[in-house]
Amino acid sequence: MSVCCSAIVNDLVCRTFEAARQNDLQSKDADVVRAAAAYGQPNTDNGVNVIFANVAKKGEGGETKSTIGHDAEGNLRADSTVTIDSKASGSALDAAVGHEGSHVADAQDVVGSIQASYDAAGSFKVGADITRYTSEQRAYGVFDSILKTDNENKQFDCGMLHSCTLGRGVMTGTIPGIVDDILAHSPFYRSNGKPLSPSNQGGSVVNGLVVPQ
Amino acid sequence: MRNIFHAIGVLTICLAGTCFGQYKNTHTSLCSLRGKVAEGDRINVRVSGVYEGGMGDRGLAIGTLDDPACPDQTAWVEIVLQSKHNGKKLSRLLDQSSRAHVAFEGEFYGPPVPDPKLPEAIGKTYHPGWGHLAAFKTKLVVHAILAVRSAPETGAEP
Repeated sequence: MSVCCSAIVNDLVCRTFEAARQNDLQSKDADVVRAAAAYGQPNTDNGVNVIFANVAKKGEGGETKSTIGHDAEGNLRADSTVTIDSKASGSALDAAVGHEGSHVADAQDVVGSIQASYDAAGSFKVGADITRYTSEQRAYGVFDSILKTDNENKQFDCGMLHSCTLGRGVMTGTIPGIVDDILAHSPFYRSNGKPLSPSNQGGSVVNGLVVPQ
Repeated sequence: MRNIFHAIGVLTICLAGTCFGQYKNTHTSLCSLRGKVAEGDRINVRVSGVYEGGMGDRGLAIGTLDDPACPDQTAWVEIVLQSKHNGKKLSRLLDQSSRAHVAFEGEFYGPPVPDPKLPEAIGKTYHPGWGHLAAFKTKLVVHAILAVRSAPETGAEP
């Protein structure tokens, strides 16, 4: 993982990111640990780059773009650029780091499954076909878990009539429905002009790969 | 090739009667950019739509540009301003309702080109996108905010 520090994003922000990732690595929730571990160790070339930006205040606290790339030996790998909210701190930062890390882990699973099946004839399969919808559900589950650990909650933009809340006090069984509501109210989460949903899953988390039949 | 597409893109926008004059006549709609930019290319544009995302005093900001008339054409947005004009106004409006009607000036990118070193079998069937989970076919890198006005909260529009 490389973390992009600059005059705008100073060393303190970068250290705060790594501290948040270390917090997540200590979680008792295996999904949270999986997400934090997906970034890899600092200053290692594993295809994961972290940058910082101003992001929507009622969103997931960052975003992740993963593409199919390759390492120095020519092996396929997921190249992921993670953008974290430059203003996030405390539990919100821990949760954003976990959420985006979950997307990175999903992309690594997808590309790893392609690498494992790729043969000399050029045929391959996508063993782990993780959709954008599935990835968001799992990532928001990680987000919720981290907030609960910190005894915090966060409200999301779910339109004028009500807000959506994750974290402290939220029943685990209600989370998928809350996430569906979040997905329905942001242009981040659309496929073919419609919100991601169980019936509109939005293609692979490593979007754009046409899987051979 | 890039220059040719650039020229065609600008020419197309000009032919649509949106090249000169005051603000209201100088921008094109996001919908009208459908199919204007090929994979790996970009054009300079002045484009309007509904922006939803972040905006700060400085540094990169990210979000999306949407047009209710073509909801399947949402563009990924990266704001890297070369002028501070309207920046604070946009930030203030986003604080109030999380989205705003905007006219942006910048570079409009077509779909990205896959890593050329990928195995051929994968490279020829792989068409990545921009932004969150690579879900956006186009990207707008914003250099100037030409105009801003408030937009209703999500779900408030009919």
